[in-house]
Amino acid sequence: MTFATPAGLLWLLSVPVLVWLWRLASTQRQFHIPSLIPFEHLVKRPPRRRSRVVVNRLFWLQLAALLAAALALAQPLWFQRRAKTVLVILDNSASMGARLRGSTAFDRAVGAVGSRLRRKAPADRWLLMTTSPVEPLAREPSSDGDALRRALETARVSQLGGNLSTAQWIGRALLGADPDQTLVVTDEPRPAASDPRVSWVAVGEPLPNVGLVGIDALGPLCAPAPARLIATVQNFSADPASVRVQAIQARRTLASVAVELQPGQRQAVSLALPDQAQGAVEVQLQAKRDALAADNRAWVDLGRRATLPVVVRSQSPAFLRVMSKWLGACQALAWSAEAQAPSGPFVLVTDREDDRATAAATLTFAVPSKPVPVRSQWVAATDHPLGAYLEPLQVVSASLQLSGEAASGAPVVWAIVNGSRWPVVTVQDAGGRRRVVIRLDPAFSDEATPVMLVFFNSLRWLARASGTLTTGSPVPLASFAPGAIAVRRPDGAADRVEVQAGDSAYERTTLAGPYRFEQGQRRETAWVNFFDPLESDLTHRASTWQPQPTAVSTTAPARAPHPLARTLLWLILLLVLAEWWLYTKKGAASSGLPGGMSQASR
Amino acid sequence: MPAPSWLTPEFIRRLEALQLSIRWVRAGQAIGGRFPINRRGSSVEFADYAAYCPGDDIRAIDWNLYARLDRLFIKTYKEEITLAVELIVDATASMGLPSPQKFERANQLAVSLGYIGLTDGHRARLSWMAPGRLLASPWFHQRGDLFRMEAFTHRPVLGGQTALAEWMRRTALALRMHGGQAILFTDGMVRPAEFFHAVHTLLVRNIEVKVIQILTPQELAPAKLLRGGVVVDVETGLQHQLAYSADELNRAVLEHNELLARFCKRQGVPFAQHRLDESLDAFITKTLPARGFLE
Repeated sequence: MTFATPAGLLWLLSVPVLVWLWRLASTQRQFHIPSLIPFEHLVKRPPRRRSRVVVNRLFWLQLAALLAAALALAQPLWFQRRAKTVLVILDNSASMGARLRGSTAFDRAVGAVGSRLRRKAPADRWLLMTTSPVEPLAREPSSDGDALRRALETARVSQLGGNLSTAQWIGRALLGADPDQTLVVTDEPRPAASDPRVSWVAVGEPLPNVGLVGIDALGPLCAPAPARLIATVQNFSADPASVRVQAIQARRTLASVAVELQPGQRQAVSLALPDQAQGAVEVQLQAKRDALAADNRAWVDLGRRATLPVVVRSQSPAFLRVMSKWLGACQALAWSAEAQAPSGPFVLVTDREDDRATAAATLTFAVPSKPVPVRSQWVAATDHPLGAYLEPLQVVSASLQLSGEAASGAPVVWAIVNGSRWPVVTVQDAGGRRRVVIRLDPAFSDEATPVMLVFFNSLRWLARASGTLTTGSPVPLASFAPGAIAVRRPDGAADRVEVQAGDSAYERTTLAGPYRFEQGQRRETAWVNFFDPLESDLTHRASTWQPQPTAVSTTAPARAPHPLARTLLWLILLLVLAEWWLYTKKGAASSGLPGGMSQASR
Repeated sequence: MPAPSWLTPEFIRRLEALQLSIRWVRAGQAIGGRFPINRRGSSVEFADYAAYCPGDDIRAIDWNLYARLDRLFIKTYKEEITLAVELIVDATASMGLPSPQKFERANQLAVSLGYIGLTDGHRARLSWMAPGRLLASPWFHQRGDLFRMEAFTHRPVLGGQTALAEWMRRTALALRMHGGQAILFTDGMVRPAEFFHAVHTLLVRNIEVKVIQILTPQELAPAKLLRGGVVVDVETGLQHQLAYSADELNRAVLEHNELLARFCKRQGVPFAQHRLDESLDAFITKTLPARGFLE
């Protein structure tokens, strides 16, 4: 404790004055007694000691009031431990729900946070953040332990990927300052160098897992043929795994394939479907020693794959000619070379980089300024649907755009020219929209089979974009009229979304499964899948934590001053009231004179 | 005459069940009362046999005894007298401090004991020890005089100082006190020598003396209140700076009271101390019989 104005302590000099006044009153006070005769022998001898200060409760009240006044004038400051702000990042990504036996990592995480909540200081403010999706469990930081525990109980494991750094960024933004302490509860490995103010609670353990990491319906684009489902599965375990993949529709198994996967191996499994297969097909994966259930099921809607029309838009007659040649060979495709876009969603094929129409998907040919066919070796990523029919390595003669500008999107096909590797096909999948960029001129490459395969693979992938949604990505609701839409989530929970005029989507796709949308008589179902190899890999967990610079000074004082003057003023007031009450009571008692002696002051 | 609140019918009935304790009867009592004494008298209550002497009433000779013993004896009978009960109440200024409560209690005790005497067939008289003219009530003879006796207690006015021994001498002469009982109601705030002298004045007049000291609790433990300052004697006006310990003050009062009590005990004078916070009823019905005042 310290004093803002220590000079106020001079008021303590009034204490001796008070004592002197009471001593004076003690010596001057007169008591009328019946007789001095009993005390005669005392009166005759001199008093053994001097008269002392005679005090009563009034004196102590007055002394307390004086001391309190002196303290109040000195403006004391009491230092209390500053309440800490704690940011709790609770990892609720899909991997936290993994288990072979016993409790899940998420259960252990909730238990760890709960035990720390019970031990927290009453004044400390906690903000609970989840990673999947990144959102606070309570609207604002709270020091109420019960409210925090209730908020913690609402946390659930989602079927999304999680990012701890993003959660930390958003948590700091919600707090408005750097937290005094950050508590991360996750199954991700602890980073090598971390901030000392970050407490890390690791609740995960390496577990074997086999999961679906992709699914595609490779139906015929050009001619009627048996449709196939391509399911990409991967073994994330350290041991070989026997896997069975089944395609099921209405509890009827349409196809079933068993494969043997080596540790870490990823493989595309082809499932042949009947000709009449339409609608939603569920793909199930079965394997022994599989810790994560979220990546064992996937859905694809076969009924919508041919609904997207293709629009070719270009100023180049050669480009239009080649496109009409290629697309014309496929009678099953509905395409047009129109300047005006159709009313519904469509796939746009163009040679203009800036043509970002309202298409659901875009295939852009980046045409070189000087079209010169060159021989190159193409390297295709076979784990992507675009490379499904491509050889891993083949020689292609095509007019490529070999520029130094950075390719936008993820490369799927590279071209090796003169020892340099250039991305030829790149893909983007963001916001529910897919985009493929092919860096070549089709007019000078129309005879190359790999080029046509890339083209049709791209169309297939683009046209079925809406059929293979993943968790976390929005479900486009363009076909609904503006207004409220009732949503039935995969876990049976009801939700509601408001569709505005224009481009609207349902964004809370935290679980894999069917999402049923209903607006009046219109009903639609969207199938959302969980494909996230990072989350499925329970053996080698990757860290999403990145050290972030502190925005404010970290040398905040551990103790904060609290002025006591106001409290002391209240105390003085109470003392004065007590003194007044006591004085009144004493006066009333004296007026009754119940005792054997009377008192009078001189 | 309205009845005082403290004289309830229940209390009066309790008083009527008691009687004054009389240890001896000296000369000077009026004959014709109801209190029998072992003295040859004319009552019907047989007392004893006595040898016949010439001049005795021959009607008192017991001829049956003469026939058996061949000696003359006369039968004697107890004499029934009326005892004089003097109730002397201290009315000096000390009895009125801090309020007349102490004096009121003294008067109540005097009236109560006086009524007990009346119910025994004695006569009672109240007198107040105060400076100036002698203040005393007439003799009361009947039970019905209770309320008249109580009304007399409102007449005296407290105040002043008087020398107890001198007052007692003058009063005994003026009121012709001789024989009977005298009950002194005082707070004992008097020099012990004065007190001894006053009691002795009564004793030599063949009066059976009894003393009741009436004190407040604060007087018995003055240290609780007298914690410094100046004390003023309400009777003399003397002042003294008080600077003594609590033990000294309490011990001084205790020793003074014990001195009075010891003197009374030596002289065979019943002595009782009545605290003002004590019930009047309990004091009369329990304490006073135990101390030899009542039976």
